[in-house]
Formats: sequence, structure tokens, C-alpha cells
Amino acid sequence: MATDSLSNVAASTANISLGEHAATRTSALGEVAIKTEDVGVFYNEKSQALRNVSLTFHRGEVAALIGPSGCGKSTFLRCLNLMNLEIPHCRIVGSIHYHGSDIVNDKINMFDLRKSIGMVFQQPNPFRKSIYDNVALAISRHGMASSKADLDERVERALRAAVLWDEVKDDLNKSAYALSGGQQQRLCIARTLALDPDVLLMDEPCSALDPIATRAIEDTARSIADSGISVIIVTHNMQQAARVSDTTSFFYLGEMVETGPTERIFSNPSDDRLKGYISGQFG
Amino acid sequence: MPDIQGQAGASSIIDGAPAAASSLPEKNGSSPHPGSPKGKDARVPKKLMPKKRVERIGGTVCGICAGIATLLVVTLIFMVAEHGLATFVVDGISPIAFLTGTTWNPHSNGADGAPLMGALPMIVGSFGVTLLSCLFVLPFAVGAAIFTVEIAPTFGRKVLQPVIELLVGIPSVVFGLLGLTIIVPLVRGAFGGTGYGLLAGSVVLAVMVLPTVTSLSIDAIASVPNAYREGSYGLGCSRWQTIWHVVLKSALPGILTAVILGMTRAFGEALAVQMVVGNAASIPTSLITPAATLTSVLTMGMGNEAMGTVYNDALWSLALILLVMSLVFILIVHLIGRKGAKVNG
Repeated sequence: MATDSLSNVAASTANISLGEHAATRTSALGEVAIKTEDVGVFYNEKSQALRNVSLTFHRGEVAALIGPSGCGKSTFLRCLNLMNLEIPHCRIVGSIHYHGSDIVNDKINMFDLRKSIGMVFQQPNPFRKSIYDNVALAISRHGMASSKADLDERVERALRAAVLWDEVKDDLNKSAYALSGGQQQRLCIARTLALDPDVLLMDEPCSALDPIATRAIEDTARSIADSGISVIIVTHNMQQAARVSDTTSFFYLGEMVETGPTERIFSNPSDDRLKGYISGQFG
Repeated sequence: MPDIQGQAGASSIIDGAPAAASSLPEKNGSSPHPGSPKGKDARVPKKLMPKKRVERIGGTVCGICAGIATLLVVTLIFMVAEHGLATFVVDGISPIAFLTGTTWNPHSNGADGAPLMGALPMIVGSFGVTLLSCLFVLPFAVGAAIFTVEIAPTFGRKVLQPVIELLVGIPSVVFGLLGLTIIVPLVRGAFGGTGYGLLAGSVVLAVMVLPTVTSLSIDAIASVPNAYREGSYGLGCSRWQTIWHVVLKSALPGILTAVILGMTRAFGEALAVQMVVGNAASIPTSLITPAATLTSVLTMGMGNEAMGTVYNDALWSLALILLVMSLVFILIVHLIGRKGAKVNG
């Protein structure tokens, strides 16, 4: 019985199609995109890096996860697309509801999951390929493009969505490493958006960037959320969280301490640890 | 009694009662173990040489070593070039005839009166075994490297890589002997003929260069930043897609370097090849007809000819070709490295 339901879950997650996402996107503002219940992470049997995190993320919103270094915010983010499972001996407990199924099980198709839950990393990590190929790689590996023209169109759409198209349209065949750091990061966003995700995870996407590039990434994150995607951004920068996010969750020592609308979190925090963090007593 | 004292002393930290009971004898016992060291302390500084002088001496010694090493390389190239070019300058053999002639028989003269010195068969033989051996070794080396880095790092690094690297230590004559007793009969059985030839030679060479190419490929693949793999996994690419489209693509310059360094080794290998290649200085018509390489002709001919004879000069010319080719290989490696550096930004 238990195994049956698990495999059903896997099947239903595997069947999520892109067309469905695209169709529901405009009407999906505010709809729950992903919901976690009591999520915990063990890096080995003894040490629990994260415990009992229950959060809900909505489409069309930017959610910020803040907290001091080592508080588990990145670990939590990496649960949402099961990136943690790439680490040997790492175990996720609790449940993560996504499209009506719990993705914390062995039968989940990680590859389809990561297609619709995109991720952008701390350091810009474009592949050692041309700008075009960086975006086109995953599209073609997932067999999403029906023709060369379709592929071209998808690449252009993704680059436009990441607000990069105007800067690179004339040198799509140049190496991605010819771009500046901020452009590289937006290229990484573009190649994720090319897969039509409905959740975008950003793991301190601006920590390697200068203020102007940071601003560009933040604006991009905002416009992506406005298109109906749930953007979850990890940041150690409280100003960034205040600027860009609708909701903010504060993590401390492997726990989610407080969550709420960003404005309320920063103007009227209730937990003492959060008050201390915001007032700069530790960081 | 002294035993008990010792025990009591040791347990005194944990348990108070015995320590209290033996507090007196312990005090007495502790006197032969004073904390301060006796005798001369080596760490007390003696009078030091002035730092400026140390700097100067160090710089001079390193400079001399570097100078000698450079001089060695330059004189070596100069000497090979001097002897090798004597064939053309002193003995008046046309370089074009030397490089394109197909008959190698320096003891007899051709129709035009010049000795028959066509090196083309050996050049073809050398390039033949080199390219073929690299063709054979490439899938195994890259496969083993992928396995070691991406699939089973613990087993690969602890077992596979050391075992493959053991091959480096086996002398080439042993490889030749193994080739002679295993490969040559196998080739003879499978394809007919004598069994000696380019095929046997390249199989032996492939085994010989396997550790070099594998080790360097492992380094190349391991040096691909993990961020690339994460990026690819994050896009929902499978492990194999990641390896094939992202990791190998990024490691390509390094793998090419590995192959070319393997080619350098294969090109220059003499003994093992000579034992299985058949040593017939004519252009091979197939992979299983006996052939010769630059190195095999050199090793067989060098001892027989007196210095300064035309034959001897011709052998030096073959050595010069070998040297130049090795330099070309190294140059290619450098060019790849520079291009890689450019891509890295």
C-alpha cells in the first residue's frame, strides 16, 4: 500500500508538463507553489543541520531566507530541489509538498523536478560553452525544442526574461566567460528560466557581485516573480531581503525562527534572536 | 608497593580518595621528573649568517642550477641538429629525397649515385604506431578517468589509479617481451601473416602509454570545478548528461594534453616497439605487415656504424626528426594550455 502510493506520487510528479505550467501561470498568482512540513536534514547520523522547518511559498512572490552563516538557510533551499541528495550520506526528513505530491521519497524523478524547480548558485557558474549553448544545453537535453527555430526562440525568450537579451544578442556565440560576473549570473538565471520552471531558487546569487550587478539581479528576480514564478532567495544581506522580498523567514542554528511579511519582520520582529540579528548584534 | 603508588598517582585526577592516601609518596616520586630539559638546547639561536648574504648565496646556487639545465637542453638540441644536418650539408643528400624516399639502404647507391636513404617508411611507421596506439588508448584512459573521478571516487583513487600507475614502472623491454609472446601470436592467429607489424606495435604502445594518459585525464576531469556539475544537476540534467556535455567538454583541453603527452611517449619509445614491429624498412601495406619506426632503425643501426660515416649521419638525421617531432608535440601542448587559459579568463 505504502509503496503503491509512493510510486503514484513519483508518476504524478514525473507527468508535470510544461504546457500546464505555462497555462496556469497567469491565473496562479498567490497560489501555493511549494509547502514544507517539518523538514530536517542530516549530513550524517549524528549531526542534524536543519530541523522542523515548515514554510509555504506562493507563486508570484519573492521569499527571502535570512540568517547568519551556517544557520541552515542554504541547506533548506537545497532541499527544495533535492540538491542535497547529491551529497553522500545526506538525508532529508519531513515532507515537501509540490504539485500535490511529497517529493521527499526515493521514487521521485529528480531530473523532472529540477526542471521545474530551477536553481541559481552563489558563484556564477556558466558552462564552458558559448552564451547560446549555455541556455540551449538543458532545453535540448530535456528534449523540449521541436526544431532549431523553436530552440532559437526559447533561448531568446529565456534571455529576455533574465533581462540579458539586449546585452548579448549580437554575440550569442561568444564564450560565456567573456561576460561580466553579473551578466554571467543572469545567464545562469536565463538557462534556468529556459526550462519554464514555476519555482526559482537563488542561493545568495549576489554575493560575488558588485552593487550595480546586484541591483540588476534583484530587478530580474522581481520581474521573474511578477511573471508568476515563486522566487526563493537566500541572502545574508538584510537590505537585499528588505528591498526585494514579499515575505521573509529568519533561520538561526538550524531552525526557522520567524516568518512573515517582510515589512512586519523588519519593523516589528517578535523573536529576540531576530531582533538581535536585525539590530546587528550578531551576523 | 611502588606499583601501587604509581597507579594511585595516575588515578588521582579521577578519584580523590586514593590520591589523598598517596599524596606523600607521590610528591617524593615526582622529584626525578623535572620539567626543565637538561643539556644544550638546539633551539637556542647561534650566530646567524647575515640575511643579505644568505639571499645572495641562495640566488646564485639556484641560478647556476637553472643555467646548467638550460645549457644542457640547448647543447643537446644543438648536437643532434649538427650531426643530423651533416647528412644534408656535408654528405650532400637532398633533404627532400631523404624525407620522401621509400627505400632505406644506406650501404648501396641508387641510380643517381647517392646512397639510398629514404626515411619515409620509418616516418610512416612512427606516426602509424603513435596515432593507432592513441586511438586504442583513448577510450580506456578516458573511461577509466571518468570512472575514477565521477563514478567511484573511493575505489578509483585508492585502487584503480595506483594499479594503472604501476604500469609506469614496468621496463619497456618487459612490455616488448610480453608483446612478443602474447600480442604477436594473437595478431598472427587473428589476421594471418607473421604477426609482426604496426598493429602489434601499437597495441604494446597503447598499454605503455595507458598510465600517462589515464593519470593526466584524471587530473583534467578532477580539475573541472564542482560548480559546473552542480549547475548541470540544478538544470535537471542526469549524471551522464552532465559528464558528457559539461564535464568532458570542460576537461577537453586537459584530455588533449594527456593524449599528446602520451603520443610523445609513444613516438619516442624504441625497444618495445622494435621487438614487435617486424623491422622491415619499407612502407607498410597493411597493419599486419612488418614495418619499422624511426626509433627501431636507430637502435638497431647505431651500434654498427662508425661515427662520421654517411650511414651514421643518416641515423642522426632520424634522431633529429624524432627530436623535432617531440618539440612539436610539446609546442601543441603549450598552445592548448594557452587557449585553455584564455577561455578561463
